[in-house]
Amino acid sequence: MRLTALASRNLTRRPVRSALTAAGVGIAVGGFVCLSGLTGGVAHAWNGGMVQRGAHLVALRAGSVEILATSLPESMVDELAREPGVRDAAGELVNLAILDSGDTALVSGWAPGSFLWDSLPLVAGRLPRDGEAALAEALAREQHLRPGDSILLEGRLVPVVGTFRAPGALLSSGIVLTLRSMQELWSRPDAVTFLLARLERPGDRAGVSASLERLGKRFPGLRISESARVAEDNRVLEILSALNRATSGVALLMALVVVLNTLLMAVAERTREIGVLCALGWPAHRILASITLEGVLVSLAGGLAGSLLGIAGLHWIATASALRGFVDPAVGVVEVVEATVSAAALGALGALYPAWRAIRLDPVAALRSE
Amino acid sequence: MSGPSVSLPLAELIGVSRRFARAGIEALSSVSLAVPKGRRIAIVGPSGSGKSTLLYLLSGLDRPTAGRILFEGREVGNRAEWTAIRARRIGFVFQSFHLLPTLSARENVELPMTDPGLGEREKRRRSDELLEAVGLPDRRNHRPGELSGGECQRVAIARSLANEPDLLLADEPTGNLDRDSSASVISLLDRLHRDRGLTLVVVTHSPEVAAGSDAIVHLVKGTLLDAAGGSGT
Repeated sequence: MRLTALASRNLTRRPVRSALTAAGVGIAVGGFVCLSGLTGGVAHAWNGGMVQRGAHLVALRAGSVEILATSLPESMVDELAREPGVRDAAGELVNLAILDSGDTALVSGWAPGSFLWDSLPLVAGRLPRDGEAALAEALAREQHLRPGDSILLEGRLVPVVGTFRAPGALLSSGIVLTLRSMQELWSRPDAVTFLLARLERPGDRAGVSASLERLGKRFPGLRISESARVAEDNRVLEILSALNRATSGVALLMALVVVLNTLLMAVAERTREIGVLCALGWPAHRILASITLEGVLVSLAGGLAGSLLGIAGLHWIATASALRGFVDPAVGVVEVVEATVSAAALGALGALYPAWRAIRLDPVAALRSE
Repeated sequence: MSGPSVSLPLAELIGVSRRFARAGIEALSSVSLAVPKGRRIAIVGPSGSGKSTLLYLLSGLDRPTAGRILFEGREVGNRAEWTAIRARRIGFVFQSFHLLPTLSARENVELPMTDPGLGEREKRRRSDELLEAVGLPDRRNHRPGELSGGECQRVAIARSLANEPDLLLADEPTGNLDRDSSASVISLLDRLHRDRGLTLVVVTHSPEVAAGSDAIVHLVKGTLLDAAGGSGT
């Protein structure tokens, strides 16, 4: 009979205990998947959002920690547009608005005529002019608003003139105004949050790198990156990520202890059987492998279930109104496999000490044990 | 044993003592015993006389505090070497069967088949053959909890034969069985000894089990009193 069969039989001998151990591992792995997916999802949402706006490069104020709180002068849009290799440039002012319903929406301001509007497929109505707003279709539906209604933004009623199908997660609960309206509403005259540029030859990798280097020297106060990598080196995301890692680490450590405890109990209960295996000529490495395999199997089961639970949790968080639009769940098969393999490794680690205890048993004492 | 033998004993204890320091007990004291190939030896004696300890020493599961243990004339060096000998050359039968409760009879019999060169199909064929040899061909998928004591002991005997050992050590093999089951197990051990030329060392209280042995060794308080047949000192 195969070792895996023996290990799985041993686990089913105490089904409740094994299930609880797997649940412990599952919760830890689920938390890990969910938390890391959350951080990755925020980065993915921002990166995807910039790409979907049609921009190739994005420029932010260098050293900015909280992106939404930073400003750049709007005049820099023209300066950037005049640079060699840049086809055109646009500025975007972004902020969060608390709606009447208590939900949060991301509000963007775009200058009329900028290429950003090209990324906005209208579903109903028309594009907004100064003093008007267009709403993401999902947001409009949720807030029961249609073109012709008004929305309260920063204490002012703004007429809704159109709804659009959000290109990506970032605008899925978004509101778009003209840049001027946005600057007035939030009292940030002549300010933009970031600059977006389209390049003349975006497919030329060497050219893109050269442009990034040249623009970096030309605008030392800016952090310029490719739009698909805008969320990299973001301090807030780095802090979030570090917090997530710490939290997940504690959870995984607890799971390790759960596995260790379960297998220590199993070894204690099966002392005589281990003695029998010694008497039958099982070498120490086979006994070690058998017990380690139990840890691996129970953790694999927990890891797989936990990964799926984590993904479900992540999707639930991503669709919860407070976070919708800020998280684009990006957990796939690779992440599930990684998490499950990590869980198996955790199981093996947790099993090492009990397995070591098992092979250190005196076989005669083990055979005589009750 | 009856008649001189020129071949080396299969296993041999030479002046072996085993003292359990913590308990302050000397389980065996200067015991010498030769187990010639193909013979059947019964070790008898009261409880606590050191019979099981002697079996554990013969199999290398326990180490003596004094004396030497030889297998085929050679002193076995370490624990790993003994493990390999137990895996291929020694079969063990226990009083309480010691079958793994979660495994079927067939799987229990397959348990000692750890040779990596042995495929699952071959293991299955062998275990089925052994279960047939012990008269349990229709019980192969039953778990120990679904078998009688006598059937469990037969499965344990089949398991002890899994790797075609030269030496079978049986520790009170009928100690937990009723009269009928005991008779059936005794007859099975007899047949295996006769048909397979198996060397058999049986620890027993039972005169029925001891009967028909080539030698009966009496152990009292860790000392060999005599050896009918002349194998012990």
